[in-house]
Amino acid sequence: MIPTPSNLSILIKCASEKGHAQTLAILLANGPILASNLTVPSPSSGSLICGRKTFSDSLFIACKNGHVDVVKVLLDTHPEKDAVNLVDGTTKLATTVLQHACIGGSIDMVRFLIAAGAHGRESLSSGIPRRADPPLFLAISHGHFGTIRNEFHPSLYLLYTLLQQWLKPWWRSSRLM
Amino acid sequence: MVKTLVEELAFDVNEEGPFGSALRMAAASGRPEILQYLLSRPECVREGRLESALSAAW
Repeated sequence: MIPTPSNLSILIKCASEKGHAQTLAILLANGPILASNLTVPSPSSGSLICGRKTFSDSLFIACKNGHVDVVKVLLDTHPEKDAVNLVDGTTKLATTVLQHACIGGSIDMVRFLIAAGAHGRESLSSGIPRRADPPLFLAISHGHFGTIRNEFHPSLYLLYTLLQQWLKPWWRSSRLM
Repeated sequence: MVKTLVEELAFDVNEEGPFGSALRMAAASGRPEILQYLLSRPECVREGRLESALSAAW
């Protein structure tokens, strides 16, 4: 198969979505060799390894899926300093990386993005359109509350809840004694 | 996650979104555990928001 800009872009997106950080790093490092016309001139800093749309799509999907390693690779290879604060104007639901991370429910991702300089806690005053919910609201509406519910398999959480209910009377009676 | 966002990363529970408060969002999404948690926060402003949350849950 001869690599073309479009299928290289698909490969980059797929690697980001599935969390294959190493594969992504190889693709990004060899992108210009694989498809020389993929390089898109950037007014601020020479050239981008992949197109802006490919980059933002890959970044947002990796944030949503909680792939911290992938986001690290994407941000490291991007020439723009403030790439972590890209705003996606094509969607109404979530326009920033923090919003995508909160939809996905990965707290490690949120921590990493804030450490990397992502804005968004003060979403309404930082130029993010009012039509989009703040990151905290997206975490609420997607039900990402405590750690147990999200880090364990749903059936384990159900088992935990049932055990908790089952043990409650015993615990109460042992306290009264 | 909401707990960590609020307690560790200082996200504002009183922020207003395009469709109202965080209380309203929790009620409208059918998340009683989150609603309870938000109401338990000392900094949470309830005035005028509880009614809205109640109507959203209704």
